[in-house]
Amino acid sequence: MNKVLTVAQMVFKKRIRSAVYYWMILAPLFFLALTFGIAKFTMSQAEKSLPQIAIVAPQPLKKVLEQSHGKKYRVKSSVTPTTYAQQKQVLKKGKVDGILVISPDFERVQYLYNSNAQATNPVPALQAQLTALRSQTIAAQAGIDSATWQKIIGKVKINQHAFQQKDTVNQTDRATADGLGKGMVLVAFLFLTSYVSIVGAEIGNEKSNHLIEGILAAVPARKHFAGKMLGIGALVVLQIIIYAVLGIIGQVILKNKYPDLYRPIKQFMANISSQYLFVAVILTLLTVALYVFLTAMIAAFVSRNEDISQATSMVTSLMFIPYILGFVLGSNPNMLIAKILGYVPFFSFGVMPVRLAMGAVPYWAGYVACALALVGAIAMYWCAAIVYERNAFAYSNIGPLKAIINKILRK
Amino acid sequence: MENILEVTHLTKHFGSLVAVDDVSFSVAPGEVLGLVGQNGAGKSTTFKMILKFLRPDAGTILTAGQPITTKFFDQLGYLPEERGLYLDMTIQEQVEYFAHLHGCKPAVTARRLPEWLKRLAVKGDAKTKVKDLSKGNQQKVQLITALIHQPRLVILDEPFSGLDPVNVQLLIKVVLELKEQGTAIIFSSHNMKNVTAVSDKLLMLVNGRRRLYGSIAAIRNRYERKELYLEGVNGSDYPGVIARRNDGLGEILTFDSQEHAQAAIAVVRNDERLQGFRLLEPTLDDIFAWEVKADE
Repeated sequence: MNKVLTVAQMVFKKRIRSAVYYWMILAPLFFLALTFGIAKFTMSQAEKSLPQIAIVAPQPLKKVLEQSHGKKYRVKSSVTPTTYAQQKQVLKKGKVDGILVISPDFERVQYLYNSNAQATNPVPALQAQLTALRSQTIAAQAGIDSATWQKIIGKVKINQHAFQQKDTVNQTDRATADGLGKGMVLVAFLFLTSYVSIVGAEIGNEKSNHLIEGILAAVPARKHFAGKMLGIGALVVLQIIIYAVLGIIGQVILKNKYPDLYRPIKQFMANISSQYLFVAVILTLLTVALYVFLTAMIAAFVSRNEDISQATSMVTSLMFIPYILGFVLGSNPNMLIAKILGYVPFFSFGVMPVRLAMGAVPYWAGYVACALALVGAIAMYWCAAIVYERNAFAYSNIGPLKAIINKILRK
Repeated sequence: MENILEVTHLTKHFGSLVAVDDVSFSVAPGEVLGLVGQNGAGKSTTFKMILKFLRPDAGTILTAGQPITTKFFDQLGYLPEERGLYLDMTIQEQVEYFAHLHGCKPAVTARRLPEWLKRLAVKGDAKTKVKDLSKGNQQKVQLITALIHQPRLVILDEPFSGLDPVNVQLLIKVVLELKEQGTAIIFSSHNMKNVTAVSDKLLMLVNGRRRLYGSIAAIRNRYERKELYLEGVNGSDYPGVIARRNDGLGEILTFDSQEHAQAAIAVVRNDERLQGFRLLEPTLDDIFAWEVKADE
């Protein structure tokens, strides 16, 4: 066990001393923050590009429009050009982006604007509002009171009642669960792309640099492999801890400084059941382990440094499948392929959380997927360890893919 | 004293190729065994079976009468033929890691390291990165990783390759010191002069088979002494001379048999011009060449 720990320690220390490791951990958060910042900036820019209009209409109508702009346009009440010449002048000077002119009987409704205006056109939003206002006005003229008119034009309310299947995600929590499920797939994908390359380098470099003979003269191959995997596991745990600490710090900052942002996040988390969280997290962790072991197995066939990327790219390509499936199957979680792949290790982490979130399967199906993923991870580790041991001294001029094929064909 | 390594009837096939064929030898504590053979003779394959990198098809490998277990690796030091180090590590990190894998604590290694760096005249200190060292110094660092944990058995595969004459002498000195301390050493080399300088015993493999085994003196005694060095009587003719070459002040005559060489001595003793003579032992290079040729 000491030798295993020695190897694990070396793998761990080598990586945590490298600035690249911390960039790998923080880059997703950095880009997330950057994306958030860009989105916020874009939204604020969008707000600034809201059209500012003047309204020439009967006062009651004008008041209603001023109050119900719904962030589609802004009203500049101080500008009221009543004649065409005045309207043309106002637009020429750029005091407003457009002028809405409405006659009392709605016979004439006109929107005047500069053709080279940068702001968005508010006509679609105005049309819906004006249609409703016109119908109300005509109803009033016909002697129909406001309440009766609302009843006439209002949508039929359909009361929905879902019979909650036992042990499935609550109907009300499904959107949250689906969001979390897809989020976990993304998180797993980010983890895997980093750790697949680390594993490839750890396994491939020592053999291609001829370090392996000296190492295996001190520690048996399987113990060396176990140490490598343990060291990489420690790196994963450290990354999770760092994210958890950053999450707690972020929560405190949001709660105190940005309560408007904090409230929806808190609501989001409150809607997630512990069972769903358990299944999603366990499946993700086991899948990370599966892909790491698979990468280690393929990297065991690497003889040259330049072939390491070929080994890792094979696994990265495979990882895309559950990643895409998770998004595709969201609309139809009961497809046959979803039913099958929801239990298959390597793919289940992208499919089962979505199926659970959609209420397509009860929680026990998630536990079964976890159990199968665990069995798969153990089997994958065992296979990878054997392959590593048998190929530690096998050198060739061919790449890992061809080496694997030759091995299968017993060439 | 029990042998630290006892190899008996070791055999290894790779398909139809017989890489090692019924090879037996032993090494006692404080003994140095030189393993020689042409390229592809089975030297590295033999080492790999001892190190459990390869499983033998037949034969046994014992240490102190017991099969080798992974626990024994802590008492074993190995310098592979293909050199390999972690280039981004410092010398100390590298050596501590390998020593720790052999069960030697980092604090102990750190204490021993300065002395080893001095002993092998490594150009750099403990904090120097391996990639900043020359190839020869990297090789010395790798040798330190094989020796610093004070192993009982050391296997050195071509330890002299890549070293300049000064460092070769340094290594020979280290090997002899280890021998004095009771370490058993097996090393392979193509340089017979170095093998002669340090080895107590010689094992020669030809095409995977044991061709010669025993002390160097005993091996040499098996061969006729056919070369005679004469000084002062250059150019004289004697029966059985098949070759002659100048050697400093005298010349070396090669005879077709030891008998003819000794007959020439009997004649030349009476020659007043004679200033010196010597019946030369066959060199290991000669023996090596004869044995390989005989096998062909």
